[in-house]
Amino acid sequence: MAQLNQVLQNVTERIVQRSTHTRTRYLRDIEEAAAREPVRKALACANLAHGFAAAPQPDKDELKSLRWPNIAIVSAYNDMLSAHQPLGDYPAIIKAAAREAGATAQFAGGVPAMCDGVTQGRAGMELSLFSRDVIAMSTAIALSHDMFDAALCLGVCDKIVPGLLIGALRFGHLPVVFVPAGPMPSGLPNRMKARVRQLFAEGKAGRDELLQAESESYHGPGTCTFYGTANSNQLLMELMGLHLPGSAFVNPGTPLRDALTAEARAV
Amino acid sequence: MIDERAIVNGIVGLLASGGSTNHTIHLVAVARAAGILINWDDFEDLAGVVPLLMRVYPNGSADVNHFHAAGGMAFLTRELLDAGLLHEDVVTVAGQGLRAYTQEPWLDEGRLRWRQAPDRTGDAEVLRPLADPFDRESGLRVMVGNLGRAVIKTSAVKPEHRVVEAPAKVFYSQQALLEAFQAGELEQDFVAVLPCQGPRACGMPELHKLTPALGVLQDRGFKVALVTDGRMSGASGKVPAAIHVTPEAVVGGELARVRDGDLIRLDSIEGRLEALVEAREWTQRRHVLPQDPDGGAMRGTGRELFDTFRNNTSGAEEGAMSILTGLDNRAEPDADLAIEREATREKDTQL
Repeated sequence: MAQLNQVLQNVTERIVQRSTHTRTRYLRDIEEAAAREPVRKALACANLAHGFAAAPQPDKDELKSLRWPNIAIVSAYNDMLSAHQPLGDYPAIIKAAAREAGATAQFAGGVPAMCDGVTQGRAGMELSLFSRDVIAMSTAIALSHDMFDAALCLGVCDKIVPGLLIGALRFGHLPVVFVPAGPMPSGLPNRMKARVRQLFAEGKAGRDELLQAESESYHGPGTCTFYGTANSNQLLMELMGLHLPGSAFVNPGTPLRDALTAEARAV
Repeated sequence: MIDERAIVNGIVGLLASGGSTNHTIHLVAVARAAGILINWDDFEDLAGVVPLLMRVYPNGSADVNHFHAAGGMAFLTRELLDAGLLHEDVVTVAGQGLRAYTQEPWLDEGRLRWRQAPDRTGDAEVLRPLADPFDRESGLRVMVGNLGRAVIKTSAVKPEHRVVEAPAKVFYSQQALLEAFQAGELEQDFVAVLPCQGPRACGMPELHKLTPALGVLQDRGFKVALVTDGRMSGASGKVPAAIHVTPEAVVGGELARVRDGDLIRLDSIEGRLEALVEAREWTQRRHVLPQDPDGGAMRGTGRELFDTFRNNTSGAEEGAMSILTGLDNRAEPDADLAIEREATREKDTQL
């Protein structure tokens, strides 16, 4: 192991000291929650039956027998966010892969996802930052049913990943893996797009030209390809050890991406 | 498994990659959800030792697919680990230790496998080894001064624009600035000051619509900069912008003292953000906030549903959190941070 950089070490120690009280309390909360596990097994029969009433028969049998672990899928899928649209197919891939590995997976809850690209400069942007906290709360609601032994969080964009992570951390006794969807294939280079935007601002380019450039830049499923908040999220999740290694920037809809999604259930 | 080391690794990754300024808020919030208290001084100190290894738009012209092809995450992680700039002894979803992340996935006749990152970068315009970084320091600075505390991302700002000293023009909305631009009233050196864009004021919007207009003015040869308690998009770039100014204007922040014509100095090299106004006059000035016919109530597009969030949110450096406010945000407030801030304030008063 390489010798740690001194400043890195000092900053880390400073954070540990500063956080003594809050961290101790957090870890105590998590330990208490872990001690109650596996909660699903302690659910009264009526409660438990609610939890799998709609499950397909083979899953139902396993859920009844309480032998297999049950994985929560918390997803920010929606059709409007190009980065999140590929997540629509993921639950089926994950459920099938889970069965192969001897586990059940249930779609535990959806969380909202908004696109700052769409709301930029509009009133909706004033909900943007708070949507992170709504997502954290929504994640908690999904995981609040005491039905799960682990969770997969599906999300990509700016506020979604921090919101999912804040929610997941309050359930720190559950193993959680983040499952990304990957970037859009390259289109019109970002610098060209920025140039057309600037020409439009000066009145030197028309709306048709602008929309053409924007559409060539944002043209398919996946995350916008510039290194903004969404892709920063992916990089952070990877360096914080919450993704499978190397999974951040594999394009959606490719065999490698599907293989990574399936693999996530095994962790 | 998310502990202090994993959070520090996140900060380092953000810095080495020239990542989004939004994470100076989100990472603080994420850490607090795990009982870990970080602040912008931690970002600043790490920024001094973490080199910039990646240039993807807006920091360069490549996109993330290009980065991935040049060696991507596995290459970046290996370079940082080998330099002792990441904690290796962390628990990840792939098991013990971050070393697993120096490998990249591939399909070997349909089977998922991992292999080592390439030894050399595939494109030195996009991704660099530690021995030959784009910049010895990563492009994020904390700014302090009589206007408050702010962050600035300089990785996409050209060296000649990293210090701007120019008269203030105060706008209370993006729209107002854009109208002035369209009317040709901004053909000059100026610092755009946009107060009342913080989390309590209006949910701290990104002000990315300003980017093309300010970019045009910069290209025309004017010295322009932005100072605001709002956010900018992660895609923002070439115009120097001191953002997330805290405390925000509507809770007594100093941006509310700025008047049109005040000389503002934004020095991202020294990390100073100041109104060059004589100290006595400055402290005697009233805080001015715009008249709001709705008395602060925001309506339309569902904003009226979020009053509880606006009323309870913490400041940008505390993660702009409207949740966990009772549990972790207020317990054991950062005593050392408060003292440092007091010292900064005294120093400013003496200036």
